Amino acid sequence: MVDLLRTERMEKVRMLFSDRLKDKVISYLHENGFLDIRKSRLELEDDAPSFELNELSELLIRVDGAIETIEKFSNKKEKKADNNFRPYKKLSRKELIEKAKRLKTVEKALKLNELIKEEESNIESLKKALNIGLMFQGIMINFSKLDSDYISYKAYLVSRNKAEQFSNALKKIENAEVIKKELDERFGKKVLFFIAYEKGMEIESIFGNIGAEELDLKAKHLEKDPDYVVEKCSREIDKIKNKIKEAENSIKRMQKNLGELLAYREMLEIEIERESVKSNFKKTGYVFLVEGWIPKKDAEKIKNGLDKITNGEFELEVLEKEKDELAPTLTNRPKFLKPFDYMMEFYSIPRSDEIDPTWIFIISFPIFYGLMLSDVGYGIASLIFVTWITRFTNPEGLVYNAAKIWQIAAISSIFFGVLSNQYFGYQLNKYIGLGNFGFDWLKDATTILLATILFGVAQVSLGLFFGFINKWDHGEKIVAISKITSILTIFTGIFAVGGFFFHIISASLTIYFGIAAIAFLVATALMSGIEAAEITNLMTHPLSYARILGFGMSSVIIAMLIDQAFTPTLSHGIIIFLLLLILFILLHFMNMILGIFEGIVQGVRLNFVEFFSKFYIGGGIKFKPFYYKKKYVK
Amino acid sequence: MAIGIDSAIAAIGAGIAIAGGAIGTGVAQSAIGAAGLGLIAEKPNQMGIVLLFLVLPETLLIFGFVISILIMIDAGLI
Repeated sequence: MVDLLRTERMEKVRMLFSDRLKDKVISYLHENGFLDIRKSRLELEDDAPSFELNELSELLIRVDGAIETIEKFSNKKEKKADNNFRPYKKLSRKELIEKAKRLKTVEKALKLNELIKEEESNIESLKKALNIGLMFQGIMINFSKLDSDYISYKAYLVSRNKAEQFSNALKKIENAEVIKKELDERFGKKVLFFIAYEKGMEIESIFGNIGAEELDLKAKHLEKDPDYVVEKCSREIDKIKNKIKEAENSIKRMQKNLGELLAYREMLEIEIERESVKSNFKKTGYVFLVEGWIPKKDAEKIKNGLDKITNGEFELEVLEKEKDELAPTLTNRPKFLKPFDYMMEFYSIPRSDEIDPTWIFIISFPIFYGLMLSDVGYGIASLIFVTWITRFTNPEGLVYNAAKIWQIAAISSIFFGVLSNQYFGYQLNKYIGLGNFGFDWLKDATTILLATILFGVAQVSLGLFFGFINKWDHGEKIVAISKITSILTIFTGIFAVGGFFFHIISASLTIYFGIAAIAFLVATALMSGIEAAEITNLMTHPLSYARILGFGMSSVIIAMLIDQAFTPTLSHGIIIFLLLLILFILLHFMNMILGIFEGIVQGVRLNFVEFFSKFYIGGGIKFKPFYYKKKYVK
Repeated sequence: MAIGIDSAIAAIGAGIAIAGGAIGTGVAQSAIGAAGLGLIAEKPNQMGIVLLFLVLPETLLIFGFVISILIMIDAGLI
């Protein structure tokens, strides 16, 4: 039982190998992922990656760029089909570098991507020139002859409401020739001003803050007259668009090589990891040294494996943990419960030297959630919804993991829904042969209230007991004992209060329990300042579990009210029926969303605030083995 | 359904108990919510912690709820 509440036992090891076995040992460790490598504190020379690391990194950048390009232009169906390819056989590093350098797909994809980017930039400048050409259509102007020794030419766009003001400002320029043209909606209802004036004059200051936008009359592709510009630019744009389309099609055809590129990327990443890891090693002339953490249960397996690949030419020493060191945390749970570990990581990873409360969280969260949203209908609806979510979300991501927990919680909702006879607010147990099975939120409110508070007492006491174990293990014996006196305060207090208000025990016993409760309370306060500050919480935290009744009951009452007021019937005609049906679905949907939100938030809160605050330290370091999870290479 | 004056007063008392808890929770949550949103704007990854702090004052509402239930039980209303 205690082992269930502990993370994996870890051992710190130091291993010595001959230099000539380095690549073999690194491959073995990387393939098996036993070791969380740490840099040794011994005062020896640091090992370092070889020159090949740069070469591998450059190749990875190129392959990655090609993959990104192909994926950008591939459609989703093709991408999906790619997942069905067979894994590639892993190449040796030498072979990999040679072959990766000569990958024609990479070369071609990168070139085409470059070409597309270049042509897109050409289209931009052509579009700019085309716009100017369109604006000037109808004005007699030759863009090629705007360069004169005596005259300067400028063009401005001004909004219509400021055109008059701009015209008046232009009158201040001596000997200026101005052509004005009102532009249509394509250009945002603006007015074009073309000005010819004496060279050397400063005219910008005259416009002040009218907000005129100057056009670049020397822009690329502006030549001859406006009609020529429009015709040439339109033609060029069409031509380039076709060119881009051809390039995109060529890239799309490379989709068939994507599997190969993904395998190359994976192999390059593996080699880079294997090369980079050397910076964590120490070395002497002929040997290199590796230190790190391994799961204790794997120690024998690692020794045997190393023995086999090195022919016994290695030294493995189990080290004592340094005082300031914390072993990494590794949990070993069934796959379907892993999402709970993911959620714990969001809060704080348990330390390797403390009680791991994840199992309690795994059990209590679905119970709390199921009780707060105890309705078969809501449970089934949310189960369908989350199952759908898990089909298209990333298994490594937050949404997927939250959905997996939610799936378990939804099943709990269905279970408690049957127990409390709730089916979208209707009571249908009698129709499925269950009669008055289970409990009733309204009739049994008192019992449920008592049960939730007692559950609170049990969980808070368990938290205090875990706190006792943690503190005792860490050598804080007095604080540890104060946790036990806190538990005794709660229990004697319950009897004292129960005896005084509800006469559950005799008057004399009530007095003894009262005195004992006060004595334990004082003892707790004297032993630990922190526990003294927590004294009020000994009462409020168990009471806080009454929220299960609060949220559970309110969800049921709302559902019943919706049923009473909006159950659709045909007695008032089809329109009223449809209207009621829409309202019925909408209101139940809203009640379900509210229930789900509260169920999740309050279920998590009862664990993280009321329970964890009694013992949890957190801040553990996750076990990160030297390992690469292969997908495209075998 | 007609109820006696005692039960009516008890029902009002239960209402006041839950209203007091709700108002207290609302006041506390408004301050926490405003500060929490400020934190999320700066550090979006802190949303989980903010959500947890935001629901902390709901304990006040729960106390109000418990008191109101106890009043109603005592008055024979449920």
